[in-house]
Amino acid sequence: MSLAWKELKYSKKKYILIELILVLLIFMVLFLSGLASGLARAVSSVIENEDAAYYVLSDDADNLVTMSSLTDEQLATLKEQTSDDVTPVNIQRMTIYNQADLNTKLDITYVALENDSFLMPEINQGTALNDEAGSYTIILNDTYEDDGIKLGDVIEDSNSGIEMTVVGFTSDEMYGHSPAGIISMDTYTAIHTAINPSYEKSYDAFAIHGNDIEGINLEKTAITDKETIIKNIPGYSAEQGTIKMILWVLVIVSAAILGVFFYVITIQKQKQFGVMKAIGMGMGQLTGMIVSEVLILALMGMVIGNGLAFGMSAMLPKSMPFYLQGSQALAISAVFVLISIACSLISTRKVATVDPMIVIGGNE
Amino acid sequence: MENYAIRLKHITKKYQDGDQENTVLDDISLEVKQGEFIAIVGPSGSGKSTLLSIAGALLSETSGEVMIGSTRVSEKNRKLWTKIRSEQIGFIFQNHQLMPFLTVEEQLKLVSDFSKKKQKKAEILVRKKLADELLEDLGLGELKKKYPAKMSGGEKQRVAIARAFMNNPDVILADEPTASLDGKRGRQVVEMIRKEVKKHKKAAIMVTHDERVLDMVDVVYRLENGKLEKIIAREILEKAN
Repeated sequence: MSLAWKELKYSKKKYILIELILVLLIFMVLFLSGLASGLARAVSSVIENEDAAYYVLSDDADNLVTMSSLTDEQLATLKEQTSDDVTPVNIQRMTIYNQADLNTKLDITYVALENDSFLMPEINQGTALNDEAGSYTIILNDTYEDDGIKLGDVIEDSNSGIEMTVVGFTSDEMYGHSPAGIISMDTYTAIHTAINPSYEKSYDAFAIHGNDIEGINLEKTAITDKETIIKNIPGYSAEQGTIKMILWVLVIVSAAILGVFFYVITIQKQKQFGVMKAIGMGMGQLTGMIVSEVLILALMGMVIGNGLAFGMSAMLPKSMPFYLQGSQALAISAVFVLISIACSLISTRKVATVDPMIVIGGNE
Repeated sequence: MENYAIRLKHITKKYQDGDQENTVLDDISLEVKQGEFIAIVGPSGSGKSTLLSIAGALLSETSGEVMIGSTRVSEKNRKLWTKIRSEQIGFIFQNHQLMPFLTVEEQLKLVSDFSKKKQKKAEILVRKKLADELLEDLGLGELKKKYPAKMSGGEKQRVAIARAFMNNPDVILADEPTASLDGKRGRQVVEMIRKEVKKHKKAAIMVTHDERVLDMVDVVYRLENGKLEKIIAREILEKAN
């Protein structure tokens, strides 16, 4: 280890350049993986954040929340069949006007919940929903702040003309790339009744707050876990498939680049390794030295690369889908360090074949 | 008999060269005693490097026997060669071959670290003392903290000499140690090798082209056409002059 460190210190310029490449590669992979999970969350964070392990959907809905339709009676039966908390949820994509600017339609996904529902997200600013007769309230995802909407503003549902007062903001609540607006079941019913007077109250899904699903036997419904629900959100699997593929290609390319770099450095030092072998350094010690050098470089690259990625994520605008978790970054960094070590082990095979005799006879 | 530090008995080395078999070394025997400094001269391609490699546990002979101290070096114990090289042989190469990233002090510590992984404190002190003594003897006391890039060719070669003696080897093998030095410095370096060989009672074999330094060795051999023959240093010198 000390030998490795001495060499790195002595050939600073060379190794700083290599370190730079390592840092850039780690940063690139981390950044792309942050984008991947950012995009994933832009599609699914409403469901992802919800503290429910299972959902009950109608059995003809193909695991798609927005296609499902359930009734009050089913809700009542379900509540008898499980000891866990159960709450209904409706999700629907619509458009709204900001009353200050009636020319611009904004996308929104209504997430309709009961007022005391365990699915209710945390409110960062403002208060909880408090509908009074004839006046409706809404809690918006904080991306609407970028559209100039403030607490106390009134927005209008573009189809029904129902007006809602913004009473609170939450963050990181997205569904299918559109930011969410949390409303009460009553507001949801009011909107639909205004559009279609013969609307009958129904629910998309029932969320179950726990794992007690053994006793549930509800006709024409299916129990689906959270992961399946998320996977079936339109666009989710295709997007994630694409980005994950790019990510893995990048990891493989990085591995190849690192492998080539370490190999070239090893070849450059072939004579030096020959001398070390000739004066009695064993292959074990040589391997230790080479791997230590790479380990030092990789660990430093990991720290700097993570610093860059997290530093940049703090500076990105809210609308940019970027989400990097510590555990995820740690896993990627660990994979990177392992790849580096594997690459260096490949080049030690080259060192193993160096014949120390090359040192004797000079250039003969 | 036991005071021979290195013995080569009937060494033959053949190379396959296309269809032909090329005999580089033909039944060569050589014995060097402790405290004896010998030189091997000969034209390029005469097999001097091959002989040195065989003596240095770097290359196996086609037939014959190599004994270093009381250790037999053979193809069978090839796994031990690294250990033999680190503990029983001190190499001095043509171009110093110091590690560019180590200071003089660290160069010497490096080889003593090879021989045994875990060293007792007392042993470390002994080695430290030996290192200091060698550096002092070779006039390198002031250069301990210097890197090779900051030293002259003669200084570097002297560090290489110190490194060769560092592990208390049975035999010192020097491969054209004066090749990259001018006459004066070349003589100085060979003089240093001689001094240390005599002081520490080591056997030393030096392969060289440089006839100007042959007056400093005890015996000179000429290697030509695969045969080794003893000549006397003074005669060569007279011829050269």
